[in-house]
Amino acid sequence: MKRIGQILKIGDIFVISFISISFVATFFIFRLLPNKGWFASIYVNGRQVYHLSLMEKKDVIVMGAQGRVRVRIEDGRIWVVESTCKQKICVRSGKISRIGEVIVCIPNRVMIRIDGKARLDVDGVTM
Amino acid sequence: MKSTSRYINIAMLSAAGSVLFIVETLIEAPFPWIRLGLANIVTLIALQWWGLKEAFAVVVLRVFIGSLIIGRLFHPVFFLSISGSLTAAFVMALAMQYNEKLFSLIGISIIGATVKNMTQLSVVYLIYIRQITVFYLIPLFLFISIVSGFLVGIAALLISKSSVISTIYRTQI
Repeated sequence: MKRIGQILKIGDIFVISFISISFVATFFIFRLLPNKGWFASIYVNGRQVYHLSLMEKKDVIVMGAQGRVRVRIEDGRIWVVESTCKQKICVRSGKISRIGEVIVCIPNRVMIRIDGKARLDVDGVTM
Repeated sequence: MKSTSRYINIAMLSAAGSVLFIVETLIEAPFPWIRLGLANIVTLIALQWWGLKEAFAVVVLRVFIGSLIIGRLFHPVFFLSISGSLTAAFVMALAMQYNEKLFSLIGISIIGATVKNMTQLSVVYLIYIRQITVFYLIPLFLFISIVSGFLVGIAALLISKSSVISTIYRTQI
């Protein structure tokens, strides 16, 4: 048995690299692009208090358990600008935009969540 | 090739393909859509030894007989198998013209596996699940195509080079 390098022809290497590149490209395109959510819900103490479109640009003040939480929506993303809580974990959570992502502020009992169905709603595919 | 020996050779290769097809359904895959496509070995060898017509005959026989035996004739999986295998055979026949010069059997096998998987995905979309979400599986299928195509290609290469098998199959009757 010859070594694998002697068997592979130039076309094989081209084919393998082409498909690998397509794999990486489609992998990242599908991961990043399409699962942006269109709506976000804000919950306080488990009760939904806001249902907002991510397409507008606005600030919302939510009354949490300890005080105000200022939430901003811009460019299809939502984030907490300032909060009365101590640790500011919610502020440091950053901006979210994809379905299923959440920001939680435990002291204020506030949760922000991007609504929408999960990305892959196929049960299974067989061949 | 004389016509009797031609029929016998096609029949023998189809039988081998059916066995591979059946054995493969017995292997429990970690995910339902991951399969090696072992039966592609037979298509590749038919193409290598003879040509497109014979390969088509082998593919059709293999899928029909294999599906009949595992009890899935005209099951959705049957249509996926036959559409995928036929398009793969066609494209591999095109690539086979550059065999030895540009591609080895490994490259041709990877091309075939990719074409097969993409065809099956399109058939799933067109007939069964009419949702664009089906195409989110493309990266996964491309990855599987490379791995399974490579393994199947090596197997086909070894088998087609093996003098014993060659003699058994290509003996003129």
